[in-house]
Amino acid sequence: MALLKPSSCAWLSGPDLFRFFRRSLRAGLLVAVLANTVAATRAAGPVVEESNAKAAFTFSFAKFVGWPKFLTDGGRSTFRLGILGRDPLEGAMEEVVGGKTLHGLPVEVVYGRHLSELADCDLLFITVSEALRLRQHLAGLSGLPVLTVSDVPGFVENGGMIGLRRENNRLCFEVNQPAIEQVGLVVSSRLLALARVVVGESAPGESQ
Amino acid sequence: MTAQFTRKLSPILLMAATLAGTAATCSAQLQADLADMSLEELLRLEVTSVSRRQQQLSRAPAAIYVITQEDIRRSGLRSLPELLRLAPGVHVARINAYTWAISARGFNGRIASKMLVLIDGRTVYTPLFSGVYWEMHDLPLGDIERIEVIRGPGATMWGSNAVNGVVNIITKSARDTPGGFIEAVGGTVERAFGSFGYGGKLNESFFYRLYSKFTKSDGMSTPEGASAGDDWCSSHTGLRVDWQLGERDELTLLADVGVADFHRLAEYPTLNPLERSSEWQQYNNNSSDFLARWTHRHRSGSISVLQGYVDHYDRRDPLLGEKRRTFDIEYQNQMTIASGHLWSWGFGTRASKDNALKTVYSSLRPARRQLNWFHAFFQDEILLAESHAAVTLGAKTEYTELGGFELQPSAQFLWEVAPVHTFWASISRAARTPNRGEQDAVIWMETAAGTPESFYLPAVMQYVGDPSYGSQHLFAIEAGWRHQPHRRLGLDLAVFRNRYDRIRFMELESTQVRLAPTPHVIAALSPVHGPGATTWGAELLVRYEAAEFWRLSGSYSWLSAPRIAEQFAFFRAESTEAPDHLANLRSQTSMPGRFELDLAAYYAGSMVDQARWTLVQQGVPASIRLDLRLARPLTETLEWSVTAHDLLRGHRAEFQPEGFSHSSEIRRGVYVRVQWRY
Repeated sequence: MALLKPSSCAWLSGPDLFRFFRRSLRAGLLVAVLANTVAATRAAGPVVEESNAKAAFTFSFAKFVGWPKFLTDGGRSTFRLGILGRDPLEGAMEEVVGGKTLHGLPVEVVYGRHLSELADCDLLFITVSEALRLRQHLAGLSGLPVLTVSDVPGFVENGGMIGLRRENNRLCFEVNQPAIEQVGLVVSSRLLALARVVVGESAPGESQ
Repeated sequence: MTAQFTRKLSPILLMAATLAGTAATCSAQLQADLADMSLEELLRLEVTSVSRRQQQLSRAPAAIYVITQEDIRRSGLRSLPELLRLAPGVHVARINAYTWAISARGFNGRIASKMLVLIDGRTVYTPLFSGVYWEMHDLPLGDIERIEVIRGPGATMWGSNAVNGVVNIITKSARDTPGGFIEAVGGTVERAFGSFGYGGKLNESFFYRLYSKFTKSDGMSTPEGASAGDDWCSSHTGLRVDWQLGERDELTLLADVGVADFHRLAEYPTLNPLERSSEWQQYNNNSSDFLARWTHRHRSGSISVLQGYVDHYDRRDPLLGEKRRTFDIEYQNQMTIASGHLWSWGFGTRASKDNALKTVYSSLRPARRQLNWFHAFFQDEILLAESHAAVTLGAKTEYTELGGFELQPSAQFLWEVAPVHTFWASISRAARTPNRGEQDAVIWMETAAGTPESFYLPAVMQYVGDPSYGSQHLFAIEAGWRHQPHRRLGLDLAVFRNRYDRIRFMELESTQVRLAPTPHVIAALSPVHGPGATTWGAELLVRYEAAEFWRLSGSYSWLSAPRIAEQFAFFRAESTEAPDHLANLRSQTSMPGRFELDLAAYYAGSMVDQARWTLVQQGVPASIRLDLRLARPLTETLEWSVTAHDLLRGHRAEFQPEGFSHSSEIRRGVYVRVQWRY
């Protein structure tokens, strides 16, 4: 075949190049085989769409946070879970939490593109499209007993409560304990123990 | 070689396949259980994300189209340049088996000089003629994550040559391609393809992918239906590493080595204007590149990227050969500033050293030259009106030895009237810096018959580059509207007006009479800046989901370009022309029994004149390409497909010949593809 004909490339001639290919392929293959063996001995976890996983995380967070008002306010009929932003997790929230209950109340998922539409929510997921308006939104929510969750980078550092972050192929989360407690919500120590980073002076479950 | 791989791997394959199978069955029931999982379980869950980035792009104040992996898979197209047919408003014309003319919004040609093409952040146009050697970039198509096609100037972000458009090819992270992949294709025109890929990990933070691809393609057809003899083959082997260094840093390494071999019938002018000498040519290419990119995510949410690459190739093409080494390094930063400002800024430098091949017909003076670039940009995205509108202001300043300093500013405006209505508009200035060919080349283009001016002697038309030839600028006004009137229907409209300050023409510099070997006149022609030109146009894209199982998309684009050739009958170097009308229609159907039936039609209107080198005015008639693809997965991991391409005609031309080589006509063909993932 013509490809195998020698050529006069300055730094690697044709046959050399092919030898180089073959060598590198062989080396690569060895690495690949080894790695696959290592990978195969490890339990292969299921793979899910990122949006679905984020929805599931958000739902779980709500289980580990207490809203004192539910104890006193009997007038509420649903747990309002709001999604603020343009790309509302591709509809994943409804798929994942549809028909579920939180703190004894059926979960109602509401969408909005302005904070004013969602101010009476119990939990607010802020999507990436709101990255630039983050501080504006958080200022608008200050003092309200709303748990804020977001996948915007730097969410927790900017005053958000729980930030979701992708690390390698998995999601992890960061918790801003003072921000949660400031609005009268109660956060479980189990949540803090599993968090990658906990912001706050008293951080019992400091990051692993 | 592949068989050997398979034998070696088979026990592991089996094991991996079993595991993959288990994972697949898991994910079906997973959806419902997600909410019931404990936090510990959720933390162990592996996630993938497909559509996020695309949604962000739909908010861009520019005419952007994203070709996804699903589009690539279902198009049945087999090479990178061919894939660009999927983008609205992009004219893709195959000149011969391995050369393409690709441009948006006019000015098309093999040496289409106004499109910027990037592969994973690496600029791949050649400073020799500002065009792209498409045949050198034969990537495994399954590894492409997406191709972003931006019509219109993108100079503020991307830099020079992003005049008429930007093509940004992004491959998948090694993290997203676990396991092995083997693909084999056999057919009548696209004779044989094979690719192999393997993705794995050394630990939870070090992921890699190895790939190898082989392509062998038959020659296209002459207008009479015989083989044009432009068959070729190429092979690429590469590696990608994605390495997470700690919590906030990531290192990406890419390496690729390629060899290719081409055949062609070249025709050269002789001193007799009525005679041309023909020659069969065979030549090869070697190319290699290496890129490293370090990404750091700051606590504040801002991102820093430092990237460097080395690119080397040696094209032994007797018509347009060059050996080139390019070094590039750049830094970019993106930060969110309080009160709704998003700043992007960066700077970089590039050095490119070449050694041009000299032939009887063409040479460069000087034959070796090193070119240096320096550039810096700043852009500010400002949010307005409760964040439903944004103004983006930016400028890029660039210095090149060929064109001097260039300032390329832009202003863009985006307004989301409602969730289903977005308007955008932009004005920008972009520069197309001169290339080596324009400044340094000497080419014997043509021998013209004797005229009274040449004392009835044959005239050798010799192109002589002008070292003082400068940049060309574009002032563009664009506007667009994206609308989703119904959940299943989406519209995307863009209109533009492009004003080029000067078009490249050729002017007679000098004449000389030579007596040996036979008396002739040498007429030296040099590039000069002529008058400006204005082009107008509109592009419409419609997507419609007729049913769960049936998706349709269609696009139409219209271009109004002045017929410069009619105004100036003498030699000209640059044509504003491309077809006035371009359209495509695609249908994707998922049928019972897991069959996929996909149909695609691509229409390009007639072109009046594409002859750049000769006085002869030629044209290309309108043509339609019709492709049909039928596919079915046999098992979870094994899939076959049959694609028939160019169904309507036995052979058809898409472009005129350029330079000394023939153009050939595209032949009808069919191929079968088998793909195995493990």
